[in-house]
Amino acid sequence: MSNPTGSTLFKNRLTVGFFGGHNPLEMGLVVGQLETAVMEHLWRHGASSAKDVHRALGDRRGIKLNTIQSTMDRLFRKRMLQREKVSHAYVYTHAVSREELSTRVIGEVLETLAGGETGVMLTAFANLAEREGDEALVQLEELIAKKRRGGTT
Amino acid sequence: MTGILALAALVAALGTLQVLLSAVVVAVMLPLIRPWLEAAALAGRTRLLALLSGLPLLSGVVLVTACLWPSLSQGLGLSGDHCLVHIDHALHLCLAHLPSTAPPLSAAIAVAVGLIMTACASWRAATLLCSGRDEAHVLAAISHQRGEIRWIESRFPLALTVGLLRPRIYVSSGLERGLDDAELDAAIAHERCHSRERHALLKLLATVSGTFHLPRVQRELGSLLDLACERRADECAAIHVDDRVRVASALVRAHRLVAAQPSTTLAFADGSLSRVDLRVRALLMEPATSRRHWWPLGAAVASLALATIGNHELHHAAEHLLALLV
Repeated sequence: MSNPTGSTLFKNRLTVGFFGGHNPLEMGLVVGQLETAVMEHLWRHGASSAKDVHRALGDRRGIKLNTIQSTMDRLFRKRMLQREKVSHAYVYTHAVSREELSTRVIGEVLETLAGGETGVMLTAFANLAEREGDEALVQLEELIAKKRRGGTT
Repeated sequence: MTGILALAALVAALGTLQVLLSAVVVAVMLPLIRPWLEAAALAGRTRLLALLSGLPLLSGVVLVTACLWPSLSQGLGLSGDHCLVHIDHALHLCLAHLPSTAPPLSAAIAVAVGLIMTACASWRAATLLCSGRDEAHVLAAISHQRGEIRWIESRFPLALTVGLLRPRIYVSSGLERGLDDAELDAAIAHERCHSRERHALLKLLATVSGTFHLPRVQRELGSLLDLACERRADECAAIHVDDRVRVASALVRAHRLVAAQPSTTLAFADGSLSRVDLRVRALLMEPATSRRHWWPLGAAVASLALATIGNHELHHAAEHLLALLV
């Protein structure tokens, strides 16, 4: 397996957007709709060539083999895929798991939310920008335990 | 053309003065009414805080409309020429009798202030809408639907509601693993309440219209609204699971999971009690028996009725005021 060296993928911040690359969040990695579909295919079916992916996605969506090839090459350059030459064709596998990608993307989204007022656009059960100290949480847990025992707060 | 511009400048100056005056009144009154706001029923409190955020803008729009109404009603053929009633006025807020002179410098300054505030509010709205749309796409791309929930494979303990008109609920596998079934049910019920009551939309409207407040008031109202939305959703969750302590426990457990994450974000440390502390303590108390206050709605209806009935008087008073400025 080969990996491109010096890629800026993980040096950059991550985001996923469907608007051709420009994103006001300015978070670097852009995963388009087709790129997401390709990643989905590889996560589900494992190692695949561009032809395999084209058979699964391209025919249904009316996308040419060339487009699939260039999309997979782009994902490889972004270090999201690994590839190996088998005979005359490359066989690709994912280099990033779904959970790893989600975690990185979410980390970036949360960082953005914590840094500005965009947090008004969502509501969260537990605010990741609000970290409680251990002492405060222990105190709250004691209050809850006391309440369960039938005491008052 | 000069006449139209002069009238537009006078009307905009009038609206701007009203906006600034209302912003100052709210800034002075807020410390006085805050205890009452914090005691109001949660469902009403969220709407009241959003209304308070938009009060300067709303009052400016209402005043301008009321002052122009005699002229507008004449244009619509609903009444005769109102200017004949006060023909002695040096200045007429009237589309039929446009001012013949250029707008005075004082009106131009007020218009400039109004335009700057409007530009700031528009920029804020556009930025928030764009980033909100991007966040929604990010989350949609990395999640999959199971029932009414979109699930995200991530160790982050997330339960989010994203979207303005058709909000979606996102829950992460990290939260699913970290909470027991009843606690997860409480967290999802909490998000359902945010979704049902469109809290994100309410917060967006309050934030954008809040641009017309003084910065300190903007921050205070934003913080109060945020807490009110969270507490309202906590109360809904407590009713859903029929166990207030269970919701409190889910909240603390979720914050334990957050605390266990590598630090990607900064904590807010303003020296006051944190929001999770306030929320948990509120859940551990008996449900508040806050009365539903109808008088803010009554006051709003009465103000609108007065503006409608007294539009001639407002129109006259505004013409006098503007004549003094000129």
